[in-house]
Amino acid sequence: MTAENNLESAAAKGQDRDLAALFKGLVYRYGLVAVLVLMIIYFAAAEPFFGTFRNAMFILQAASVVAVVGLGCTVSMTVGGFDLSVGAAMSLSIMAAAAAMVIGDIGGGWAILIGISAGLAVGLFNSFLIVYARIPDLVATLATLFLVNGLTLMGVGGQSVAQGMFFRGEQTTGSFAPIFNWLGSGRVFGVPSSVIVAGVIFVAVFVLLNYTRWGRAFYAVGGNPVAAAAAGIRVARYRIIAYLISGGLSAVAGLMLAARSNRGDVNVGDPFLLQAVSAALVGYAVLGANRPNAFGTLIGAVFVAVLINGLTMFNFPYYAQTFVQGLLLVIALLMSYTLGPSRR
Amino acid sequence: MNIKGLTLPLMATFGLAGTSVMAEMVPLAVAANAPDEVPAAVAEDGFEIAVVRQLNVGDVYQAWIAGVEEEAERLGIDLTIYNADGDNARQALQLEQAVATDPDAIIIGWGFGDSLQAGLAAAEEAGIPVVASNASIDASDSVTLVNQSEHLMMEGIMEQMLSDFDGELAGDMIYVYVAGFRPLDLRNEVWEAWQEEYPDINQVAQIGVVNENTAAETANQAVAALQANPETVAIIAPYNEFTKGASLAIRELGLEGQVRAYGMDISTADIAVMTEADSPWVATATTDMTNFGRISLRVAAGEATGSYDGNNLEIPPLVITQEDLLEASVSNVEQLSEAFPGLATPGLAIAPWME
Repeated sequence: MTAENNLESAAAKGQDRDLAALFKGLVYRYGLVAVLVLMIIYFAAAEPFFGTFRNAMFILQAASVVAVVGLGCTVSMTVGGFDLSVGAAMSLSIMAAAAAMVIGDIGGGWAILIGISAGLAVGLFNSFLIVYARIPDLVATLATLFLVNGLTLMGVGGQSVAQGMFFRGEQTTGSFAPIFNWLGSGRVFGVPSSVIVAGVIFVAVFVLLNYTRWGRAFYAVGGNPVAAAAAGIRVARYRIIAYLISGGLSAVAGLMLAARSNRGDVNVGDPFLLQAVSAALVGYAVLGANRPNAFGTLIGAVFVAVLINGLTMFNFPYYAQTFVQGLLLVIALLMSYTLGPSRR
Repeated sequence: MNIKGLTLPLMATFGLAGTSVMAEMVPLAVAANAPDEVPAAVAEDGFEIAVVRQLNVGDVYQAWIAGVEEEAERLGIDLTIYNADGDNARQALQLEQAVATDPDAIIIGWGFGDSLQAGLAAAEEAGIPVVASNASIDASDSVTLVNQSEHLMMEGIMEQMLSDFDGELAGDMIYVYVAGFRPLDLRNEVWEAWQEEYPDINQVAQIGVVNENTAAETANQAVAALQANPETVAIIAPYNEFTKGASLAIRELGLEGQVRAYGMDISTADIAVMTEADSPWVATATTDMTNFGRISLRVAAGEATGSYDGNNLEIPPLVITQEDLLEASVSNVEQLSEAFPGLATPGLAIAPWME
């Protein structure tokens, strides 16, 4: 801010500026949430089914998988990282769990354990590359993406895993465990179980990032690792934990996806990388946070789900839906980068 | 075209292995008591069909949905279209959502019964008739299947190949196949039967990948397989994205004179590939996807108004060669159905009120 010389108009200008700043601040802070609320009101008015509890649950179900992966991305972003391998980790955990049940014929509990371990292993591998081998995050996780996708395909010979499939010339006899049926289409008091799982994870990540010493340390590491280290924060440890959380949550999202489709589809996790990153980035603009944050990511995921659900009811073609998603991201980025407080 | 002694597993067992109770498959026919006049339910506003499709990007799916939309407009029926972008979990959710909006009928365009169980059960409970168009779903009292006859299609191109090779089917061949997709699995049964009947067919490589980028990735694999097997005389690629990839690979290696590609399906883009100078893609067996879409819509409307008996409709294919196309100077799918009237399967599944 430069010094103000013209004393006569200073007061008037100042007032204008105050108003403009206030407006800008309001848009910056509440703009996206306001657009979301208006959109919901509009869709609900135009199409009665949109506003029903059932449809709200469909929307949250559609958002749940993206939200969980996005929360993982958010955590890795808080330490200044970027995890390109979340989609690959999802695919791996899906295939591992599905193959364990369908080909290995083992129980649901073990399958979940195997799936989540697969995701954690991906996170561990990332932290090894980034923290110990000192490879930059983007490059390291890009390599992991390809490695893990390849590994996933190698494990099952490039096939999708489905009940009754042929594996190495023999028909498999295993099937998806009941716990997966519950996770995929179960409900508790009318609320789908995937929404409950996503909700619990959201609360956990929200509390972790906002109300714990760990959360503050994550942000400190992301803001300025040198200063954080000088302040006695063990930077390496927090970055490892962040990538483990990212891998673990990708695995949970993968299991949710597999449970809903009752199949282990080849590379099915791929599109979720970009959707999750985009949810996390939209989240920057929510409530003027201007940094990765759990609530913003949740809103980012729900925003897209509301949009797609509503546009489908108006028979918007799918390619136009993708365009509108792009538009949302651009607007959100404009809000956080252009309207937001200037950064160095 | 005979079916070379194949015992056709008419019931594809894609449901829960061993546990699914399968309803009998009865060929679909217009019911004796089908209404002559447009049924009141359809004539009134608010008759609605939901379309829940697994795949949407690609010529085939575009042609199919165009047929659905065309016929819906002709009959004055409202559509809601859900697109899953190849994500089975999303399609499962969208089917449940479609059922919740209580349409008069639902068309599933591609998809897996395993993924769609919950939605199918909900539709049955709600009494909403479901038409499974090109989907790996079992027929039941509430689910009617509409498929192109995959066996007849594959038989068609094999017969064509036999005549192209002057009755001597022999030599190194590359086969493109990915297991787990009902149409491909059914076509594969015919391929296996022919391999048994003609032991001089030497399958040197099996390649194939199905994803959002099928043609390009199949091309990459085919280039590798062709280089490893320089004596190859034919690529059997029974799905048009496969055939496009195979043709591309043959061209890239300059093997147009030596290797023929046999394909499946047809779209405007495919016609362009087939009719290019020296195109390796010599023959295709196809049902018109737009016609397929129209029929799917008719069957859904008919099931919602008691116009049909039975729950299984197989659409017969037509074999079209490169020569046929060049002779008729056809350059797009619209001209195709004019030049080859058989493609429009006149009279198939039309109840009197749909005329």
